[in-house]
Amino acid sequence: MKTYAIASTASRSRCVRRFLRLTLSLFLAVALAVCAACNPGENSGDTLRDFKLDTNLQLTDQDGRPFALKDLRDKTVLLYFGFTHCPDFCPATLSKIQKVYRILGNRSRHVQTILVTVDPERDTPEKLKTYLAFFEINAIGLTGTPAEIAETARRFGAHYSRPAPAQTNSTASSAHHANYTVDHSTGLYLIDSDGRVRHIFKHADSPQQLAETLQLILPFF
Amino acid sequence: MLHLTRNPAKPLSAIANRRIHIVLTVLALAGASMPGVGCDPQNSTPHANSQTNSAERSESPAMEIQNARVRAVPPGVRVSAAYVIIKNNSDQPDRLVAVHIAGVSGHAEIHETTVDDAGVMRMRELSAGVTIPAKDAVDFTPGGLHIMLMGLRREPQAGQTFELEFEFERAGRHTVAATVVAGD
Repeated sequence: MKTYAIASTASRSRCVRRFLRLTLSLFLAVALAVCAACNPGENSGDTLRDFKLDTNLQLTDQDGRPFALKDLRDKTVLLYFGFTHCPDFCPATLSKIQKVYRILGNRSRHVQTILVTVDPERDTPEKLKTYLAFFEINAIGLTGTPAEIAETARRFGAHYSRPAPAQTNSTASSAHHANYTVDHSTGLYLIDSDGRVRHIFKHADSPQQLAETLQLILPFF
Repeated sequence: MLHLTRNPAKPLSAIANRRIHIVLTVLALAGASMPGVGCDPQNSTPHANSQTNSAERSESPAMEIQNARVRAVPPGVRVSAAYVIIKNNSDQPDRLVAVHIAGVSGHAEIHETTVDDAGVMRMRELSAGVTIPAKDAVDFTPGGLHIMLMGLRREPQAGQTFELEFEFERAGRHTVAATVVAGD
């Protein structure tokens, strides 16, 4: 009677253990399937690829310190070429990035926005600092010598140029000159934490599109 | 009473089953609502057409300037852009030839931003102005047409207003108050 009771307890506990193991493995299988479904990651086909661009830029940040992309650890970068005297496109892009951060919520802390000026004559580090602080996305502003900026743009395949001032006979021509504009590429580069350009967003892409693509490579939490 | 005591297992398992059903339903609902998270449709820009009916009913002016706003810019920036919807209610096309800033220093130009196939943005002054077709509206919107404000003494800050005077070939001068707004 006694031995039977012991055997019975042992077999019951073995049974419970087997049940627990089964439940655990079932749970893991479901969890893995869910993860795979909501994070296509590297298998995201057309959206992400390696553009094979040289992102080893060497410029000066908004605090006047030398900056290289590799200084950023574990950050996914959104890099944009623009300038602070730009009235329409550049602030619109930075506002769009604000919206992207809002969509990403807590995960936006893995994102680092960088503005590389295409107007190094006017965009000093101080100017970039006050300009970017306004957008509250903790962006880094980069400037440099005209040669350094030109080299950076070349590596990214970006274009910029200062159009010849319009032929006006107005007396305000000097004011016009001070208000010169700069034509520039509007691509927004998505650079992963290994420094590879994985996607180039177009100006017309919505904040939702940006956020969805970012979510493919951002850490989960 | 007798029925319950005779076979208590059945109702209990039925309750358990129902519970599982409820849990599954809740999970399914939660799952279904997940894709909706963070996918709010982008804020739609107001369009002139939405007010066509009320405009037609009342005695509407030949030229209407709606939704006038100026982009708030960071400290130290002396340029900005104003956006409006210009609605021509008349039977004749008209032309916006100039915009003036009233009251404060600075001047305004009519500009257009275009992006070519390579994604390069160009901003140019439209010195000949912009045609506003008859019974139609032209939307000055980010990434397209804008009124460039330059030579400002102070950066436009959210909540301020700018008096902008729009000069048309036929409809003459129209002054509107444009509110400074953060973002688009």
